[in-house]
Amino acid sequence: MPPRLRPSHLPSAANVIPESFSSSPLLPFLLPLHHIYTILPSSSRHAQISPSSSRQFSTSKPSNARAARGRFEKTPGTRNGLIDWLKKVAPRLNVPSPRNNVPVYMTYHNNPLPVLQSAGDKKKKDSPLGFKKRTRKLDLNTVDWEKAAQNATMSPFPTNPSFKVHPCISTEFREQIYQRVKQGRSIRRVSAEVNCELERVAAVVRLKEIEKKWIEQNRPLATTMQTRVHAMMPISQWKSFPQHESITDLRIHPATNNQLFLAVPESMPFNRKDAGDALGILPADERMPHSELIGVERMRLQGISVEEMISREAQREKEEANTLMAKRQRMEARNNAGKVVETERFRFRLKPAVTGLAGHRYGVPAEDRKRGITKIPTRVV
Amino acid sequence: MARNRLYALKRPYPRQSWNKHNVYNIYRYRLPSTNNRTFFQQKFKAKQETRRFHGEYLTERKWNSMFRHTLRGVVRMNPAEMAANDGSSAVAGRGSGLDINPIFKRGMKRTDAHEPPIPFAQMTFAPLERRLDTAVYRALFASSVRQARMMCLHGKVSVNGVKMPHAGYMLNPGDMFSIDPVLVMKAIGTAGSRVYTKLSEKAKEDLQIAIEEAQSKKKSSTYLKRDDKKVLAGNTKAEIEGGVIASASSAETPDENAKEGESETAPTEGDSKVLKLPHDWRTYLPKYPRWKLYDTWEPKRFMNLFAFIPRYLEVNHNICHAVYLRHPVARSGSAEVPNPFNHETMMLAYNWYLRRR
Repeated sequence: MPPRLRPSHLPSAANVIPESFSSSPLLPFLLPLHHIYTILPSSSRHAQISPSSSRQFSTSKPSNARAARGRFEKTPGTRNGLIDWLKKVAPRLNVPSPRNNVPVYMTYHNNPLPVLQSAGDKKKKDSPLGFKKRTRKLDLNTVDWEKAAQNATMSPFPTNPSFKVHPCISTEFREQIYQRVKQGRSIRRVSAEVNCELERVAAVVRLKEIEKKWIEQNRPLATTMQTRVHAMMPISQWKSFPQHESITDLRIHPATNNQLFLAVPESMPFNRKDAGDALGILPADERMPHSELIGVERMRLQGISVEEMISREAQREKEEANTLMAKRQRMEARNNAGKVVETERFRFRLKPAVTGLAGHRYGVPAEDRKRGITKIPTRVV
Repeated sequence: MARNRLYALKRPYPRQSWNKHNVYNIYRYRLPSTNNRTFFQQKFKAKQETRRFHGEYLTERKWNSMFRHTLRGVVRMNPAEMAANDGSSAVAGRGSGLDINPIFKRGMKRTDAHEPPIPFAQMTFAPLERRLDTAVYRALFASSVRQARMMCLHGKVSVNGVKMPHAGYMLNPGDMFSIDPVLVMKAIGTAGSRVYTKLSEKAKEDLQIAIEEAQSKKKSSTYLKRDDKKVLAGNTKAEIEGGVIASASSAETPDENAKEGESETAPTEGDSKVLKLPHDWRTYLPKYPRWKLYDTWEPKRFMNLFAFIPRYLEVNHNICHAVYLRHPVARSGSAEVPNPFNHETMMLAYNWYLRRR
């Protein structure tokens, strides 16, 4: 059967989208995959009958091509789609300096920035037809930034709602953490005070130390970049009782992923410690970061006075510092045991040993000297 | 490293980049459909799509050796609750706790009783987040993973103060990596030479005269001698200091209206003579002063769409240092590996790689 040609007086059906979809936000999802579409201004909406359809087999563009195009039409080259998008959509997506730390992510297309009431009224007067006129550039002064901050979607990818952006800590927040640690408080204590993870507090102090050193050396800081980058993303500002993130996140132990059938007496309680014993791991009370908070809460439940709680906590911190110091000394003693020979790459700790008793003396041959094999270091001390 | 068709428009795939082609591709990206496909086909398609996003420059063999079927997750614990009971109530009754509030009452949703599940499958490509190049990109020190990789390979990235020329170095928790701030500002900012798009009429005239002189002196080379360049630098510097550049940089709303509208060739103004600067007139100008970039830095186009730092990094842009705190984890309702794929697609991709274990 020969291919059926569409009558020439009808517009080309292949790429025509029903007009009812025209204002739908779902349009990109309704279109077939990888469909390149263009949205023409409303003036050409009524150009229903296309003269170009009478020249179906012509490869040259008609002279009045622009007027003849339908409202949505597949463009001949994908590059045209990009150029149209760059003109029409991209200026609205590119918001280099939003206010109030409102993140403008790709999901912005479905949830545009709210416009101030007065500005909205003005716009309505401009368009007598009642529909929103497409403005190419976003006027940042007309945006209701407070409302935008409330409505902000924290997922940068429209197709993945399970990835959410967590705010960063502000520069003032970092300074506060640094000052607290400089006052002689332990990392653990500061972490609990400012509700930041232990690792984060330690990292902030390390980074701040370098920053202070740079200031001393009169090395320039990229403060402009820092402020501009922070303006684009959600930030948790410093407060008297900051709630930045959860500090008691317990890592799921791989041993707990498998089912374990255990016969336990019905009359006996089976608590977290028993569960840890059964799985062969430490109980959650000890594995959890900031496990000392459980002790504090327990004291609170027992109705112990605040002074007593503070003194007990101080005692515990002192003991902890002592054990840590002892551990460090042990480690240092171990590292410096025997004769130490430092080379560029290795630090040899030579100990007297008796040879000739074991079977293999030199172990497995290493392949890292072979041609074309790169040995990437696994750690940098 | 295959270079061709990275940002193809006809068959688009999302990549880890702020390139305009890539933004366009992510903007119109649709997740692969699973209709009328066998399970194998679904898994294969999901694996294809996700691998094109995560480390597309790595061979499948390399990635297979990095893949781990154990996925990291965390559970938020409540110390007050742990102090109040020892957990024995959780295994009371028939072993799964006493039903104090039966959850499936009429009119009650499951979400009221339960926390959202942990999206473990989103952690499939978490081992790649340990790579130095990916971490540099995640810390917003580069505008694409490939650019970050190039920085590493060129020896611009240090780990704990030691130059690390291997992009595949696997960061350990507590590792600090750093790059020169100027390099970062160039990588994630607009080009510094754009400031010279605004020259006053006087500066343009000076420039034209200087270029003509230079070309007449030495026909073989169109470039100015170093001495001439210095003279020119003096001329244009006066103009730049005189407020032309200052006004451009002091404008608090960088909408770039003025800059983009600016034509590169000199405009004709009534009776004044027509200025014809060569197309490469910028090369005659003195190099953009390094220190100026610190004050007049502007973010790269579309940076706001990708401006987020995952929780496992602590970044200081003042000094362009960052610390890899810990390995990325998944928690109730969210995962720390950024990607545009939904849970179902990632589940299929995870299953693909699990198949061979």
